[in-house]
Amino acid sequence: MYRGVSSEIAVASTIEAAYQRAYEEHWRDVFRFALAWTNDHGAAEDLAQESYTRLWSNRTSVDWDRPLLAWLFVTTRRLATDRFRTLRRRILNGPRSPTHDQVAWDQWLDVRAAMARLSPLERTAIVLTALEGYSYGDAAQVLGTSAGALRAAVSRARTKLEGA
Amino acid sequence: MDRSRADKILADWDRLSSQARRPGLTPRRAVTTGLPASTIAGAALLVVVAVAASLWFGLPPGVGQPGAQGSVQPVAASASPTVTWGPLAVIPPHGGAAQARTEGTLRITDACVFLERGGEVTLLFWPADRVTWSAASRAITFENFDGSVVTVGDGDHVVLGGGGDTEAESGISGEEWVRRMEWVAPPASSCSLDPRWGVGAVGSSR
Repeated sequence: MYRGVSSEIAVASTIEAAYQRAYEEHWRDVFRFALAWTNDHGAAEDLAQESYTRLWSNRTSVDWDRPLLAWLFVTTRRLATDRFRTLRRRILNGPRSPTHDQVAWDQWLDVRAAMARLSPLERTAIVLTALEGYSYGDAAQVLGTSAGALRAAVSRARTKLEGA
Repeated sequence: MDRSRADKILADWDRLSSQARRPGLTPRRAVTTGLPASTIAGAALLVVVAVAASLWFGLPPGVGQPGAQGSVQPVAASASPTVTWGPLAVIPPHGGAAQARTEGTLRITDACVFLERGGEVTLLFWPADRVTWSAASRAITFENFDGSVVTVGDGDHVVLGGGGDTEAESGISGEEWVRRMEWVAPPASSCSLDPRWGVGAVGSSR
């Protein structure tokens, strides 16, 4: 019996450590993905936290030996489009992120306005491919679309940003 | 060679988004490891009199460190083997909450739970994994994402995190909204359904 309890404790500790590592290593990537999708700082923070909560909820079924970032991205995208999206509208007018100073926040508002011309797919597609180094194929997989559609989205995004 | 307009916007986006700071507390639900209670060392209930900012932005830097939530008690999950929701409108767990805030006086009737503010009542709905209803004390216990547990009752002044909307904003009538949502316990038909608020965090000055 004692061995069983010890074994459970060891497994729990391993998962705890893996979860902690995933949080420290990937949180910023998840946040940026969510920011690209939502174009809203508060909502992105919210979504990133939600995604990690989901990871924790699924901790016993997740394969911790495999790369988790794609899982987190897909979870974030699904959460962003789930039934609670209407509730998030109020976040758009909610409090600003406390992590920005005034100058940076003003700059962010300009960038956000330019990025608002793009659809969530276009924003996320161009961020993943132009900034995060994803191939069209890998980005398409994360975003649940085809490589062709992804390529077209990136092209549209560039055109829109040039005119912003 | 000058960068294109698109490249400049992307570079700014890259720089500004990289400034975001990871919250110190790793998000998770109540601990349900199945381990003996004695192994959840140092467990303590953190009943917090809410300071609104801490609800929306998390604890100040240095207060909570990654991993510190290992001492969170499984309050909501173990409260009762037979779950009764009483007047609560309850939705399935959804792993997060919007970060808007509101406050007012909690009103608990036989069939409904409202937030009363300036003469307006807002229907409250709750996530099933973080709320419990005590019929004996007619009190609501809510577990916040930071592990703090708050118990509130009729007449308490509460600060609520979460998000909501109105029929005027969304164009969705109360009845249609109820039909569209997935419920563990839907609001009683006698409850006012507009506006409505999904509770994501609770603080009380009880």
